[in-house]
Amino acid sequence: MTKKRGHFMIFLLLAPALLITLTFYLVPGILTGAMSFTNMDHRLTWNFVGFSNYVAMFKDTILSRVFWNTILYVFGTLLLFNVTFGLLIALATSYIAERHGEKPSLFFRALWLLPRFTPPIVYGVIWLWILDPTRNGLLNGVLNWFGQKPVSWISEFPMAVIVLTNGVIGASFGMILFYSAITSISREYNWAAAVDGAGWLHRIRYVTLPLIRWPLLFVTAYQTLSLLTSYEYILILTGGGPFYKTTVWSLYAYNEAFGGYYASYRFGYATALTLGLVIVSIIASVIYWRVFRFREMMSEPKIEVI
Amino acid sequence: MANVRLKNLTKTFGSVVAVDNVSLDIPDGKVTVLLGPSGCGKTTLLLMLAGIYQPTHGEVYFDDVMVNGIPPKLRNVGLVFQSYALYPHMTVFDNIAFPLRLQKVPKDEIRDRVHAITKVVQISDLLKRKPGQMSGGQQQRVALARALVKNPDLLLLDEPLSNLDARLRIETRVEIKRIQQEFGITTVLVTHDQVEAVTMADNVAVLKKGVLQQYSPPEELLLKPDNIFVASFMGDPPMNLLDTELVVRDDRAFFKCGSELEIPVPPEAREAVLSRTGKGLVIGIRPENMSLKEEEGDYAIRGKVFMVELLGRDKLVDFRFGEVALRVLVPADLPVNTGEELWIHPHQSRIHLFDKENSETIPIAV
Amino acid sequence: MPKLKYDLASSHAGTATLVHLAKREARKEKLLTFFIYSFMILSSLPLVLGYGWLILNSFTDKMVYGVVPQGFTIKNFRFLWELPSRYYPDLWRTTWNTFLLALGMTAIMILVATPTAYVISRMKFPARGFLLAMTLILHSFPGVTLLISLYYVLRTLNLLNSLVGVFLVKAGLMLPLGIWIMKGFFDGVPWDVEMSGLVDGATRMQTLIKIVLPQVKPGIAAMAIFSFINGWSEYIYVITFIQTKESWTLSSYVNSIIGDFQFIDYGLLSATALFYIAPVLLFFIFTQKYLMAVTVSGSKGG
Repeated sequence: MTKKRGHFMIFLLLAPALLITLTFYLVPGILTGAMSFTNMDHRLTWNFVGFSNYVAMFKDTILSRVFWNTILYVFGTLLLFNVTFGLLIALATSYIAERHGEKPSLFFRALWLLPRFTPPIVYGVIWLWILDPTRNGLLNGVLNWFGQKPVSWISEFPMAVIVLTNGVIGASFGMILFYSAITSISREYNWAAAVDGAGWLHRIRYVTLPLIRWPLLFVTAYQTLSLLTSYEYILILTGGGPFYKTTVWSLYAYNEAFGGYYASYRFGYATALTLGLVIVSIIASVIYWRVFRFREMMSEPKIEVI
Repeated sequence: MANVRLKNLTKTFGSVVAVDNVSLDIPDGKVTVLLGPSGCGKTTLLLMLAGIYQPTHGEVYFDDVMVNGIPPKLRNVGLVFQSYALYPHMTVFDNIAFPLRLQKVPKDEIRDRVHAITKVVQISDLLKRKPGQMSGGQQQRVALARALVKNPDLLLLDEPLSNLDARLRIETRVEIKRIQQEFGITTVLVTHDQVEAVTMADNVAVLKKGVLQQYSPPEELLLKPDNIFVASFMGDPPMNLLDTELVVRDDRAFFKCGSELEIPVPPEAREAVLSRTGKGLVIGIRPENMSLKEEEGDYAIRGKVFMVELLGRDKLVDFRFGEVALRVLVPADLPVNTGEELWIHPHQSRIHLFDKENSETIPIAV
Repeated sequence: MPKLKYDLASSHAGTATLVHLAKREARKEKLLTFFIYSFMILSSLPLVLGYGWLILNSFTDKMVYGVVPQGFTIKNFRFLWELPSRYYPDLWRTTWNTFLLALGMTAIMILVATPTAYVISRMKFPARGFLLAMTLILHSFPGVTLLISLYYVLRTLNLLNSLVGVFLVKAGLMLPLGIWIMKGFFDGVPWDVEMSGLVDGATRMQTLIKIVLPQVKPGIAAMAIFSFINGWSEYIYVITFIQTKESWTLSSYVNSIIGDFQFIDYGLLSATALFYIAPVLLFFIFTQKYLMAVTVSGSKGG
C-alpha cells in the first residue's frame, strides 16, 4: 500500500474518535472559556461582562471557605485512605496470599473493589443507612444497643463523613496498584531478607516499601487530581451542606450552575470557577508527563509498514 | 562450622516431585556441589537447607540438630542468589551491614566487620555505590560479602557464576575457592555446569529429576560413573555410548555395536562380562580414552574417518560404522584427513559397561 | 585468616535452645497473622454489613437495633408491579432506559476506542505523539468543567431531557479513558507475532483482524464489562441533564425514592437499590479479576 493511501486509512480509523472528541471536548472547552466572561443564566443569553466573574471570585467569602474545605477533603482522604489505607490493605492481602493462598486474599481485595463498581446512588443509600440519624441506622442501632442516644452523624461530622465515604472507594485504587507492585517484587529479595534475619515487619520496612516507592508516589500524585475533581458522592450524601461545610471547589461550581438549593443557573460564574480547576489539572498532567516518564509508554512502533 | 546431613529428603509442589528421597552427608569445611540439568531439583534442595522451603518428608540435620521447621533467620546460613538479590535501594555498605543490623550488632562492630569482609572480597573502594552502578562481578562479590559477614555455619551458593561472562567466571571461580579455604566454611554450591563443579568441588552430588544419581569426589564421576546418566552428563565432548551385545567367536569376545562395529573385550574384563552374553548392554568410551595410529594393535579397530571437527587445542575425529558413530579426541596437530583409514586403539582400562535394563554400571576392571 | 570471628549467640547452643527459639518465632508469626486478619476483618466489617443490609433489609419487615432482621417478606419489592406513588414512571421503562445507556456505552467504547487505540499503539504516522499526549490530558480533564457548557450544547441541539444526549456526552467524555486502556492492551502484544504475520503475506489490516485482535480479546471483554457497568451506574449526567420521567434511568429512580421515602420506608429504599445493583453484583462476582486490570490502567474519581 502506498504511504498516502496508508495515511488515509489511518485517518479513517481515527475519524470517529476525533469527531467525538472535537464535539465533546473542544467545542465545550471553547464555550466554557467564553461563558466565563458572561453573566449567563438559565435563559442562556450571551451577555459579556468582562472579568467581573473573576473579580467576584476574589470577593466571594464563601469561596475562601470552599478553598479550605477542598484542601482538607483532598489531602485528608488522600493521606488517610487512598495511600495509607490502600497500602495497609495491599500489605495485609499480600501477606495472606503468601501464607494462605490466593483465595482469601482475593476475597478481601474484591470486597474492597466492590464500592468502586457500585452505582453511586446505591453506594449512597448504603451510607445513608449506616449513618442514619435515627435508631434505624447501623451506627445508631448499635449505640442504642448500649443504651446511648442516637447521633446525627452527617450533620455533626460532615467533613469526616465525606472523607470516609470517598476514602472507602479511593483505597481500592492504591490497593490494586500496590498489591501488584508488592507481588511483583522478585521472590529472591524476600528470601534474601529471610536468610539475613528479617521478619515480615522488617522486610516491609527495609525491602518492600523502598522497592514500591514509585507506585506510592504515582498514587499520591494521580489521586490528588482525581479527588480534586470528584464531587459525586458528596453531592449524594451531604449536597455540600450543612451550610457549605462540605462544599468543595468542584461541587461549588456544580451547585452554582445546577444546585437547586443555594443558587441556580449562574452559568457565567460557575464556568469561571471551573477554569481554576482546569489550570490545576493541566499543570498536574504536565508534571506527570515529566516525572513518570510517560514518554516511555509511547515507544516508537517497530513496524513501519502501513 | 557444621556438617550437614540430609535424610530421605523429599519435596513436592502439588503433584510435582522436585526432590525425591535424597540422603547426603555434607562434610564440614568442604565444598559440596549439587550438579544437574535445569529442573533437577538442585535449587529446591538448596532452599530447603536455607529454611525457605520446608521438606515434605525427611530431615535436615546441622551437626546433630534437626532443623526442620527452624526458620531461616535462626539457621545462621549465608546465601548467594543467582541474581545476587542485592537490595537496589541500599549502598554496598548497607547491603552488607543489613544482616548485622537485624541482629542488633553494635554500630562500631558492624563497621569493623563490614570493612574486614570487604577487604577479603576486595571491594573496599565500592562501599558507597549502589548495586545498579556496579558490574556483575562486583555485585557478585557484594553478595558474597553479605553472605559471609555474619560468620555463617553454612554458605549456600546458587549458580554463583552463571551471570558472569566466560573470562570473569574463571577468575571468580578461583576467588570463591580461595575465600572458602581461607574461612574453611562448609559450602554447598548449585550449578548446571560440570566444569564449575569439577573445578570447585570436594564432592559432587549429581541429581536428575530430583533423584540423587551419584555422590562422590569429582574425579570419580569421570572415572567411575555409577550409571549411564552420570556418564553422559559428565565430560566434554560427551562419552561415546553405544548399545551393544556380547559375541564370542574363535574363542575371542567382542562387543558388537550395530552391524559393522566390533570392539574386542579387554582380557581383564572377560570374566565379569561373559555371564552377560545375550543381554542388553551399553558400552561407553570417552573420546579422549582412545588413540589413533597407523599401526595395528591387539585390540585395535580399523575405521574410516567420516568427518574431522577442530575444537581449539584438540580435534574430534568422527568414525562411522554403518549406523553407529564413534568419536575420538586427538591433539589438533595430529594429521587426520577425511576418508583416511586408521587404527583406533581404545585404552583398555577405560572402557565402561552398563546394564541397559537399569542403566547401572557393570564393574569390569579389577 | 583475617580477624572476622565475633562471638555471636551461636545457633549451636544445641537442639533445645534452637527449638525454643523456633517456637518463639512461630508464636510471633501466629500473633502477626492474628493481627492481620483482625485488621482486615474489622476494617471490612462496614462493607460487609452495608451490602449485607442491602440484601437482608429488602426481604424483611423490620430490623431490630438497625441490624437484626425480623420476618421474611417480599412486600418491599411491590414497586416491581405497582408504582411507589403516582408521580413515578413505569419501573420497566426506566430499567430499559438504563440498559440502553449501558449497552450504548459498551458499543461505542468497543467500536470507536478499539481501532483508535490500535492505531495509536502500533502504527507510525506524523501526529501520533500529539494524539497520545492529548488522550492523556483529556483523560484527566475535570468533568465538571465541561458539564456546564455541555448543558448549553445539549439545550441548543434540543437533546436535553433525552437519553441520546446523555449517551453522547458520556461516550465523548469516556472515550479518552477507553482509548488509554485499550492502548495498554495493544502495547502488550509482542511485535514478533505481527511481524511474522506481515512476512507471511498479510496486510496491516489483516494482521489487526486475524492476529492482534484475537490476542487482546480478554482486554476487549474487560473493556466491555467495564463500560457496561459504567453506563448502567451513571449518576451525575443523568441527574443533571434529564428531568422528564420518560427518560429516567434507575439512578434518577432511586434518587427520587431517597427523597420521598428515606425515613418512611427503608424496606422500599433498599429493595430498589438492590434491584439496581443486582446485575452489577452478578457481573462483579464472575469478572472481578478483569475489572481489577481495568481499574489499574485508568480509573478516575475518589
